[in-house]
Amino acid sequence: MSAPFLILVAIFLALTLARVPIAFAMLVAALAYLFAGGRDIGLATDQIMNTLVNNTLLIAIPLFMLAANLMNAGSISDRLFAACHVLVGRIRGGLAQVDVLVSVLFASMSGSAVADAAGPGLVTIRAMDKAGYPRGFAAAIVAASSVLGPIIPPSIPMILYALMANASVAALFLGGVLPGLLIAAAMMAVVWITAKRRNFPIEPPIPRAERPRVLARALLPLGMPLVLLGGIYSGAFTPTEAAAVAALYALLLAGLVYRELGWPQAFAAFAETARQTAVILLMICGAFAVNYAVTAEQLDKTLAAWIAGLGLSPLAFLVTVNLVFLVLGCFIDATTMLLVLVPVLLPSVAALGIDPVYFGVVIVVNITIGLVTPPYGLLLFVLAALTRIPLREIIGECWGLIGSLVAALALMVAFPGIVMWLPRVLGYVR
Amino acid sequence: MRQAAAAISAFLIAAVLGAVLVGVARRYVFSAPLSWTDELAAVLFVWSVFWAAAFAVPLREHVAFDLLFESLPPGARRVLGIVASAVVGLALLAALPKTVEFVGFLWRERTPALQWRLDYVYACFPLFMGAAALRFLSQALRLCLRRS
Repeated sequence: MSAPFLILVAIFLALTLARVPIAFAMLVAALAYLFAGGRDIGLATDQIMNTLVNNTLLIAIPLFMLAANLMNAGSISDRLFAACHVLVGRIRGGLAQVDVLVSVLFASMSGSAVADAAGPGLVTIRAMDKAGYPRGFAAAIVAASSVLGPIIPPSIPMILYALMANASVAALFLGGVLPGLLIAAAMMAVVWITAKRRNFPIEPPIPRAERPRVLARALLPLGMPLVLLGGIYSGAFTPTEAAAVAALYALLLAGLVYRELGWPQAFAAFAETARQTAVILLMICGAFAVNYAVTAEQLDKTLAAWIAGLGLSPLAFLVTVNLVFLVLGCFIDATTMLLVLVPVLLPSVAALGIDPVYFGVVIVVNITIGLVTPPYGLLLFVLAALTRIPLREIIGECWGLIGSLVAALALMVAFPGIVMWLPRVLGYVR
Repeated sequence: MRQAAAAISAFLIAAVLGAVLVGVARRYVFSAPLSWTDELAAVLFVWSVFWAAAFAVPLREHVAFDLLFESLPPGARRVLGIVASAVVGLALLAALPKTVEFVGFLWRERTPALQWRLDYVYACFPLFMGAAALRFLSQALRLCLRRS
C-alpha cells in the first residue's frame, strides 16, 4: 500500500467521521490520492464522467425511482393495501401480514427499500396505529418488510452490482425472486408467532360483496410487474427501457386512468426523483474515483492472492464475508459497502470459483439487512423521521424480524439453490 | 432560486424519460435502431445528476455517518463542522482549475451520434465542483458566524 493510498484512507475516514457527506469524503480523498501521487487531477473527472456517460444501465436508476415516486403520489399504494387486506387481513395480527404482502407486491414494481417504506409503508403504519398496534412494532415490521424492495426484482443495488461485476442484470433479478419470497415467508412466520403471543387485533371482515371490487381496483397496478419483468425476460426491453416503460405506465395510470395526479404532484414526483438520483449517483461517482485508486494500487488482486494463500473453501469465504458484512452493516451505509467493499472482493470471488450472480444476490440481501440493523439503519431513521415514532421503540421491536432476515440469509449460504435455481432453470446461468 | 433549480432538474428527469421512450418507440414502431436517443438520454442524465447535486440538493440531504458526530458536545461539533466544511470546500476549489483544464482539453472530441462537443457535455462536472466548493465554504462561514 503506497503513501498516497494511506493518505486517501486517512482523509476518507477523518472526513466521514466529521459528518461530511460520504460522497464528498470519497471524492476529496480520491483527489488527494491523485495529487499526492503526482498524477493528473483530471483523471478523477475522466473516470467519473466516462463511466456515467457510457453506462446506459445507470439511467435505469432514476427511472425506477420515478416509477415508485409516481405510484406513491397517486393512490396505487392504497389500492395494493386494500387488496392485500382482503387476502390476509383476517389472520391475527392481520395488518402486519398485510404489510408483508404489500411489500412483496410493491417490491415487484420498485427497486428501492426507502420508496417502499415511505409509500405503502406509511399507509400501513397509519392503519396499524388506528387499529391499536404498538406503534414501535408497526414501524419495525414496515422497516423489515421494506428490505424486500431491492431483493425482489427490479432492484437498484443489483443494477449497481451488475455494473461493477460485469454480471447479467436479468440473471441477478431472477436470483432475487426465491430469496425474496423466502424472506417474506420467514417474516410472516415471525409476525404470526408475535401476534398470537401478544394478542394483536384481528381485522373486521370486509363484506363479501365488496371483495371483488377491492381486488379489481388493484388489478391495473399489478400490470406493472408484468410489463416490467415480462419486457426484460422476453428480450423486448433492456432494463433501462423497461424502467422507462414502467415509469410511463405509472404516469398514465395515476394521471389519466385514475386522475389523481395533478401537475403539482407530478412535478413533486419528478423533482424528488432528481434529488434522490443526485444523492445516489454522487455516491457512485465518489466510489468510482476511490475504486480507481484501489485498482491502481492492485489492492483487489493483492487481497485475492492473500485469500488464496489462506486456502479457504468457498463456503468458509462466504460465511466469513457475510459475518463481516453483517457487523459492518450495523455501522456503515449500505451503498458505501456495496460500492467500495464489494469491488475489492470480486477478484477473490472469481478466484474461488463462486458464481458472480450468486455472490451478488447474497451480498445484496446482506447489505439490505444492514438497512434495519441498529445503531445505523437507514430505514429505521427514515421511518422515525416520517412518523415521529421514537427510534428506541422501533429498535426494541425489530430484533425478531432481523432474526428472520439473518436466518433466511444463512439458508441462502447453506443452500445456493435458493438463489440459483430460477436463473438456472430459465437458462441465465449454467 | 432553489425552486427554479428544482424545476430544471425535474425537467431534465422528464427529458431523460422522454428520450428513452422515444428510443423504444423508434425501434418498435419505425424499426430504426438509432443510437442518438441513447446518447441524448445519457447526456441529459449526467446533467440532471450534477445540476441537481449542485443546486437542488441541500448538503444535509446527502448520506452521512453521524454516529460519532452526534455524540460530541455542541462546541466540539461546531469546530469540527467548520474545519471539515472548510477542508472539503478548499480541496474542491483547489482541484477546480485542473478539472476545468481537463474538460476544456476535450473540445476537439465529439459525441459519436449527435456530434456534440464533449467539453460542453462534460461541463456539468466542473460546474458541480465549483458550486459544491462554494456551498461547503459558505457552510463553514455560517457556522463561524453563528453564536453558539
